[in-house]
Amino acid sequence: MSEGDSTSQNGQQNVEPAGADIVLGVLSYNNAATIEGVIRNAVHGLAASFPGSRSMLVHADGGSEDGTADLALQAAPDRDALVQVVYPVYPVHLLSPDYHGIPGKGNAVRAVFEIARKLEAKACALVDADISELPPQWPENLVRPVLEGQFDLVTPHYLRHKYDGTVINGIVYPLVRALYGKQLRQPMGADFGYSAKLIAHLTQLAEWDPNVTGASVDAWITTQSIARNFKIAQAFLGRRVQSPSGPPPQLSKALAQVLGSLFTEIHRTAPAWQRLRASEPLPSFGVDARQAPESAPVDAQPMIDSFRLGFQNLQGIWSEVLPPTTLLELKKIASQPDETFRFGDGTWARIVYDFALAHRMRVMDNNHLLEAIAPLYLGWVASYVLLVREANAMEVEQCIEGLCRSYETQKGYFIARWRWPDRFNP
Amino acid sequence: MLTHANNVLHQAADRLVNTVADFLPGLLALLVILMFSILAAFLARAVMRRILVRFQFDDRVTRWGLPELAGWAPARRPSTVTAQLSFWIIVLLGLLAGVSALDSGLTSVLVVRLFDYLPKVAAAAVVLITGFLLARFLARSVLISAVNMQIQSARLLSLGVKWLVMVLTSAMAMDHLGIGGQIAQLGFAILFGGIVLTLALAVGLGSKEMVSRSWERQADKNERDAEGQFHHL
Repeated sequence: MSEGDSTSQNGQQNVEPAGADIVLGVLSYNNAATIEGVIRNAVHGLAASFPGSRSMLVHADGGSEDGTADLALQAAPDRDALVQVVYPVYPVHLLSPDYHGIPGKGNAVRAVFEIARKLEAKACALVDADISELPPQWPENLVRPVLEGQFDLVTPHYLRHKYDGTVINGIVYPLVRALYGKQLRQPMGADFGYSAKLIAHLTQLAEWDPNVTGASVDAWITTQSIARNFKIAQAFLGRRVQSPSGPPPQLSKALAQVLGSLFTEIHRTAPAWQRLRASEPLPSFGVDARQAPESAPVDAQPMIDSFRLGFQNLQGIWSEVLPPTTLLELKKIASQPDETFRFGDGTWARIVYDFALAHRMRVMDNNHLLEAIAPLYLGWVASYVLLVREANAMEVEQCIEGLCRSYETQKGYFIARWRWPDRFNP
Repeated sequence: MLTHANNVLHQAADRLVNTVADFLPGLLALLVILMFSILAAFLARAVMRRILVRFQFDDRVTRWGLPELAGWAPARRPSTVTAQLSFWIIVLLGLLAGVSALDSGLTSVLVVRLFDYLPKVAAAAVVLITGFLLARFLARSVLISAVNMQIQSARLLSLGVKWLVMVLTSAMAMDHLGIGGQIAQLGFAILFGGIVLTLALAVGLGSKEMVSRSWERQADKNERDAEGQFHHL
């Protein structure tokens, strides 16, 4: 079976062409605990929000062994409106579990896109089945901007507590915002909406390579959409309570996956982001509750210790990536007392840019490079935790906004290093 | 009697002259070959130096970490050292070819043996370089993973892995060259077995409690993550 091939059943029927206005894809892998609720709520949500439209539910499963596929079939009230696809998952996808819990997610996305294209759907939404309860309004939030607002990509904006999603808040969001000029709060996530135009564009691309079929499909689609000037909006979805089917991957591995996919896309789309300077907010849909859930206190001490351990042991590796001035900054940061431990936003932004450049220049094995950033990231997280410990939601937003501005300010440094890497060789 | 002595002396002188006359063309050939090989070596060194500079060999070698790996920090640049090495290899080959032109039994055997030995030297060099690169890669992998797993003695572990692979590689290279014979293999087996036994004893007896505490800490951490207090993604 070739990459992206999949077998489909429609309650054991074939997919009919021109059969639906809206396709809602549910991606799963060993999600027996949540799949029934997700399917029921998805069907209910589509019927309630789009009563006059023909909707089709596509369940893409990576060969679950816990009966997820059977449970999904039983949960569907109308089996004619459910297509089940088994997308290919290769050993490589299982050897290194993806951070989002859907192995070979790119193949799943592609399988749903192919069906949406065959059905000539006007809009398609994708949700991961690892959510403990899918709110029925989510399909509407993701699909309506496409159908009525003529948007091509609808990205999620979740309600998260201040310590939640620090990789997104500390790296992904500021980096995408600074480079691509779009204030996308969740460039990589689990739930998205797509237009037929964007799906037609993506499915014809020859870039569904192993990089894309793995964990990086979200980053690839988002950066492709921005670089090709597709219209993008974001939808407030509220809280996303995950119910993962397996243990989470080690932080350094997850970080390496996220950064690896992001850095690859930065390399691919270099001509597009070098022209942009400022960033602009995006049209948002749904209700922005702005009431972040309460968070349990977080102890920053283990993260500070991790950073210091990294500083003691990984300086040789970091010195191949970072310029001497940054290494000096790190030395000062490592020697700060625990209570006043701070990691400057500008320093952090430059470090992320330096690692992106080192990824492009292949100064060392990419896995080594991407895993070597973990102690630095934990140092920044510790500083962030100490900074927002007493902060309310508004102050946290201001803190993240400040970080984003630092990324935007340091973009000139990144472009200069990107264009003339030898001139800045550490 | 005098005539006989005179004849013997004449014959000896003839033999000497004949021998010298036989030897001189060979010597001349040796000198000519040596001269040409030195000229070729100069040319090769210059060409090699230009090629290496063009391909930024110094930067690449530094990035690969070969000097650091071998604990070798030459005063001269790696490209200069490599070019010089190519010079001396060509001179040595010219010398061997020239010596074979002398056509003496001893030198011929020597040259044949040396040429027979060269592939082994090349194979040993390949084994050494591959082993050193592998040692560096594994040492880095262990160092980064150990730091990310909060292991305090990460550097020690990394160094251990590096030297283990380098010792294994050296033993393989020496085996290729036929140096040391069984001694190198035995030495390596004793060293490797000793390290494994030491580690087993250290972990099994000495650090039993430390290992158990480490596992408990890891389990606690997993539980905290599972409780969802802190999601990085």
